[in-house]
Amino acid sequence: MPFDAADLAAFLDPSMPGYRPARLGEVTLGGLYRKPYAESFGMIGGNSPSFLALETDLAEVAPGDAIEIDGTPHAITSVQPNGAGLILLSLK
Amino acid sequence: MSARETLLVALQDKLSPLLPASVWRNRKEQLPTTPAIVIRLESESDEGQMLGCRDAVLSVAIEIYSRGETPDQAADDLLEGVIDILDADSTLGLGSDVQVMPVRNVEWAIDHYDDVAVTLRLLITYRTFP
Repeated sequence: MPFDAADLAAFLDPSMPGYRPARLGEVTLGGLYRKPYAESFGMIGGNSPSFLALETDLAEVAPGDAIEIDGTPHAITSVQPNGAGLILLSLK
Repeated sequence: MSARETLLVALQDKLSPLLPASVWRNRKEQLPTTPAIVIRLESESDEGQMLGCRDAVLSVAIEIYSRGETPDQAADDLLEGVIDILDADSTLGLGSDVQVMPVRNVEWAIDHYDDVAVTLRLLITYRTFP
């Protein structure tokens, strides 16, 4: 059974850990922000941020677009629809 | 100190002005900052002792780590700086028994969008008199 709008809203409820408002152009939307540790070449420390939001809010996004989360500007590196109404944005 | 070690110390000293405190030897731990240079010992070969001397060929990788929107560009000045230093004194200040050979190999690897590792491989011949 596919997720309905209420299910998706529950996934992205503001009480969820990691919930953040984000600015995409002139639009503000909510989603789940993650910023786990990541490493390059086993020697350069960094992080691998991502943002999970409703597909309906992200219909126009494309890799290379800018998104601001918590006042931090990010560039979108990939757009990954999950096929169930959500999109995961990989960021840098 | 072995001749090999003397040579590697000299190489590190030569490159240190490019990135003071960020030129490392055989480092595998996380780098505290980028850009950084890591001198990695790869292999050594020699053809034995002849006429009272022994010529060895040391293979050394000089790895340049950097980060930038166009990653290879972020490391380019450092790569050029390393090559300039080696071209300016191919004996590493150790005299005519040491010679950085003119053959070079450069590889670029990019990870996590913005991070680059440029590996410059050198062959260094050196002569000892056992």
